[in-house]
This record gives sequence, C-alpha cells and structure tokens, in this order.
Amino acid sequence: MSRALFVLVVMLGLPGFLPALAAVRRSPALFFLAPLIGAAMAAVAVEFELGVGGSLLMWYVVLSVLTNVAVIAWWWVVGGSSTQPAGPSWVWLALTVVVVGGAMVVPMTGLRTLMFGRDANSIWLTHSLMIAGGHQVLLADMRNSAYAFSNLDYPPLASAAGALAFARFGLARLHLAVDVTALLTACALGVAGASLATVTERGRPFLRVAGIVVAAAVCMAGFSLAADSAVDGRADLLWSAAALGAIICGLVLPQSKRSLVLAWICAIVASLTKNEGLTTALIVLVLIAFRYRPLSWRRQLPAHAESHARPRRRLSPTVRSWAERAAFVVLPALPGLAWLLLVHLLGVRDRFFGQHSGETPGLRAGATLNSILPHLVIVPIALAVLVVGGVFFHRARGGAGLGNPGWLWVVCLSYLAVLLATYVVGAYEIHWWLKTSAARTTIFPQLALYADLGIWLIIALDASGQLRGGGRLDAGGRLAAGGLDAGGLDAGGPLDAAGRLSAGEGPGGGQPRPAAAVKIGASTQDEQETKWRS
Amino acid sequence: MTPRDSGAEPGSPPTPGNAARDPSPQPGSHGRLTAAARLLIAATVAVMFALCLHRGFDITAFERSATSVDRWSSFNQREECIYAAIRSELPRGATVFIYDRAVTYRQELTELSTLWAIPRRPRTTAQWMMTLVRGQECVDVTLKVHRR
Repeated sequence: MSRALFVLVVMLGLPGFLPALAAVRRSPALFFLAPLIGAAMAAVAVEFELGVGGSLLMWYVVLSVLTNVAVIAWWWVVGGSSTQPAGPSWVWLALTVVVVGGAMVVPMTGLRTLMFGRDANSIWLTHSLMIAGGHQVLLADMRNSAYAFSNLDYPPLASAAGALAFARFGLARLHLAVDVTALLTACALGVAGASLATVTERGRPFLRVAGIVVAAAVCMAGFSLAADSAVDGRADLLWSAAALGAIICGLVLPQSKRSLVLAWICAIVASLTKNEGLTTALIVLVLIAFRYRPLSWRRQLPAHAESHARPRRRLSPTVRSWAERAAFVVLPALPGLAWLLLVHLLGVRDRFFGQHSGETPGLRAGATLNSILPHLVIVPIALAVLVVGGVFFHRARGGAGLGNPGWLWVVCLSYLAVLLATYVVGAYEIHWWLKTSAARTTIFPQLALYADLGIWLIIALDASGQLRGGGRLDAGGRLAAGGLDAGGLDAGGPLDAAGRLSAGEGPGGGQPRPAAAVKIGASTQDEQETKWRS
Repeated sequence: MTPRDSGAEPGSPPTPGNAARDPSPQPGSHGRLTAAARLLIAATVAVMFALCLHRGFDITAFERSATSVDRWSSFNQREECIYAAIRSELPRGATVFIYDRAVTYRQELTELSTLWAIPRRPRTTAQWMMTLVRGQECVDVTLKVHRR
C-alpha cells in the first residue's frame, strides 16, 4: 500500500472509527466498517457542498466532528447503562480480520497495473474533479449539458472519496481516485464477509474456521465476479458488496440491534454509491422493516373486529407499527433520497429513461434475457441447494436463529425484475447498452447467491448442531440471539423465541407465544420492549 | 407476502425443546439421507466456489501480465499527456467546444478539461475549439486547440 493510500485510509477511517465502534463494538467488521462510514460522511458532505455551499473538506470536517460528538454524547448517556456485548475473543477477531482481509490482497494486486475503467474516467473521476472544485464549480458543471454523458445523477460516495484524495494530495496522481474506490470495495466486502463469519461465532473451532474460510471465499468471489471492474475504479462491486452486507446483517443474521444498525449502515453506503444501489437498498430496507416488525394477520383481525367498540385503543398500535416500519425504511434511506431530491431540484435527469429507443419491448426483453442469463448460471444451482437445504436443514437454520433464505431470494428476484424493467423501458440502444453493462449489473445477484451457498455450507457442516443457540436462554433469562451478543446489549432486545422482535401490537392479541418466551416472563419482556423502543 | 424467519414450520420456532427433538445426525435412513444432503451441498458449494475463484485468479494473472501492464501504462501516459496539454494550451476558465467524430475522444477531452476549462455546447457559446487528431505527441494522438 502506498503512503498516499495509507493516509487516505486514515482520513476516511479515523472519523468513522468511533461511530463504527459504537455500532458494532468488538467485531471483526469494525476495521472494515470505519472507512466506509468515513466515505458515507464524505458523500453526505458533498450533498451539503452542492445544496448549501462551501467545500467538501469543510463539510467533511464539520460532519465528522458532529457525528463523533453525537456518538460520544450517546455513549455518555446510554452506553454507560448498557451491558457490553461479549463479542468474539481477540484471537478469533484477529484471525477473522487477517483471513478475510488477506483473501482480498491477491485480487487487489491488480491495482498495480494502474487500470482506469471507462466509467471510472467518464463518471467517477470527472465527478471527483467537479467535487474537488467546490460549490460553484460543482453546481455549474452539474448544470452543464456538455457533461450529460457523465451520468451526473449518480450518487456521490465513490467520487467523494476520490475528491478527498485530491483535496489532500492535489491532482498530480489521478489514479488515487481509483485506488480509494478499490479500497472501499474491499472494505464493503470485508464487512459482508466478517458479518457472515459471525454465523459460526458460537461453534467449535473447526466450524468457526470453516465460517471464516467461507467468508473469505465470498470476498474473493466478489472480486472474481466483478473481474477488472473491481480494481479499475468502477463502483459496481462497491454497491453490490454493501448491499450484500445489508442483506447478511439485516435479513440473515439473528435479529439484534447490532445487526440492524450494521445493515442500515451498509444500506446507506449502497444507496450513496449508485442508482442501482439505492434501488436495492430500498428493497432490502423494506424487507428488514417487515422482518423486524412482522405483519401479523391473526393479530389484526380481532383488532379490526374490536375496533368498532374501542377504535382508539386498538388503532393506535397498528398505526404505530406502520410508522415504525416506515421509519425503518425512510431513516436509513434518507441520505440516498436526499441526493435524489437534490439532483431533481437542479434539473439533472438521468439518460437511461425519457426518449423512446424505437425498439419494441419484446425485442428489448428478449435481448436482455439473452444477455443476462449467461451471467446467472449460479441461479439454478443456488436454487437446488436451497431446496436440498430447505428440506434437510431448515430446522438447523432456524435453530441457529438465521433468517429465512426467502428474504435473500426476494431481494435478488426483485432486483432482477427492476433490472429487466430498466433495460426494457430504457432509452439506450439495447444491444450496445447490454454489451457495456450486463456483466456489471449482474454482479449483485451473483454475489448474493454465492453468499447464500456459503451460508448453506456452514449450516450443512454444523453436523452436531453447535449453532443452535437461536432460542436458548442465557443465565439472565434473556435470549441469546443465535449465539451472538449473548448477555449483551443486543440480547436485551425484544426478541421472541423465534428470533423475532415483537411487533408491538399489544400483548395477548396475536400469535401464541412460544414456550421459551413464556419462560422469560411478561415483565422482563415488557421491559425489553420498552428499552428497544426507547 | 414476506418470508417468515426460522425456516421451521409455523408455530414451531427454534426452541431448546425443538433442538432436543431434532438431534443431528439422526439415526436410520433419515440420518443417511441427511448425511448425503450434507455431502451434496458441501460438494456443490465447493465446486462452485472453486470455479469462481479459479476464474478470479486467471483474471488477476492477466491483469498483472506484461501485456496488460504495457497496455495500461500506455493508456495512462496518453491520458496524462492530454491532461497536461489542455492545461498548457488553454487559458484557465476558457470556454471550449469539444468536437470529434469519436464519442470516446469527445468524452475523454471533456473529462480531462474538468476543473481547468469549461466545456460548452453549442459551438457558438465557446471561445475555443478542441479536438484530438492522429499524431505522436500523446502516444497515438495530438491535441489540437484553436480560438474561434
């Protein structure tokens, strides 16, 4: 790693370290997460630069200070009263970081070739230069029709990190923008991989090592799937890896505050990286909202029936549940949506839609399927593994507190549906468009399905059921959420015995509480719910 | 509808009781089937990852090959040369119309003039004209700039 790149890691990682520590505590994801949080802050700083004025560096410093002060204040007020999560031992933590990080060293050596992808030039580098120029330059260039080819509506995370490099080292080495994008990509994969490795956190050494190896393999698979675009400055693998991190933390790992916050951070990173990332992040966030605040038809029916007699008392929890679900989606999506609003107000339009290409939808759909399907060979294999795993290991998966694999598949299929629709109704000549983008737009579903394969492998390797901690009560009467965070802040959340957080529609009106939940005792459960909501 | 968690049948969440009822490996034919399923998943996943990672190593090897290094070195040399030429031949803040039959060249010049010159469309709004022609100053091209 060059000195300049090391300085950039520090520039991004230092302001992000404390927020990352507050979010995940002692976790291998911490070291990969800090630079990503720094990059997300830089992206938000660009929003302020464009919308308010000033320079990137000024807003980056302001946001870094404010965020860290807020975290310290939160820690001071709340952190002291909460129990510290146990987390993995330092040995396992170091081993995970070294193996997962080390797995990405070989593919990252491609950076030495100093490749510069076409999009890296025409989009990300150009945007970085605009951002580095300050408010006036950025605003003028965003409104300049000569730059229309540059997809000016793309979110600013990758270009903001590049602009920070230029702010520190000048414009002598333009390739620094590529380096920092590749580094952030590795960090995003590291977060996803390290989170995946925590599935086996409570297993015996063999299983834990297997979990770490699988996590490392998923990270390497990311680089393989993205090929040159992983190290030539393009951001497709970056958003895909961040979205994968959001899926693993929010829809796969047992429910806990730590996983939820980590999923939200990953979703923010994905949404600030590319338009596809924003779309995917919204899909993931909606599903996370329904996983953590599940619909309960059996609860709502009696509530509806009784609503004639006591409308206010029964309506309120339902409205509150939907408000919470909306907050679960809107709050993490806010930075990405703010960028969308900002470029809309500036009159910047994307070039993918609007004009009609003159090609029939049937032709475009056929061409799209012909082009995309060869990249999705993994789908039937992952489907077969899903069926076999679902038949033989669904109890083991549930016992480990892991989310239903259907969540991941819903995200993948929704993304593919959106992708197909985009190609069909888009404005570009379809064959050229597919030729230049299909390999990159299919990285995400492939990566997600490789991760799904890895998860099934871990579950299949768990021959003696070591991971079955999902519903186990710890000594304090709390649920150890899949063996994670036992006795910690997260285990204090309102998880029911199925690993779900209570929907909050009121006690006694819904699904029968499982035996383990009864053991917790109503008062403890209520206290936990109050703590979670606060 | 959204999927439920836990994978187990509804009303049968993973509890210590369930875990006790579902010991693994199970004896008898079901146990053998489970072992076969375990082997099948492990083999399939291992093969898929092996193929994927093998491709990745091939890609990295190609990226690091002398051919690739030479090609990208030449590309970067060309970009740096054009970048410097724009800054030496155009005054800072000049409005410039970039014309070229090749879209790639037009975009390349627009990118590299960012933060120095101001690309303009249409032609009448610009003070300067800029294009790339075949030459040897910047590897295989030469920057051509003239005032309108």
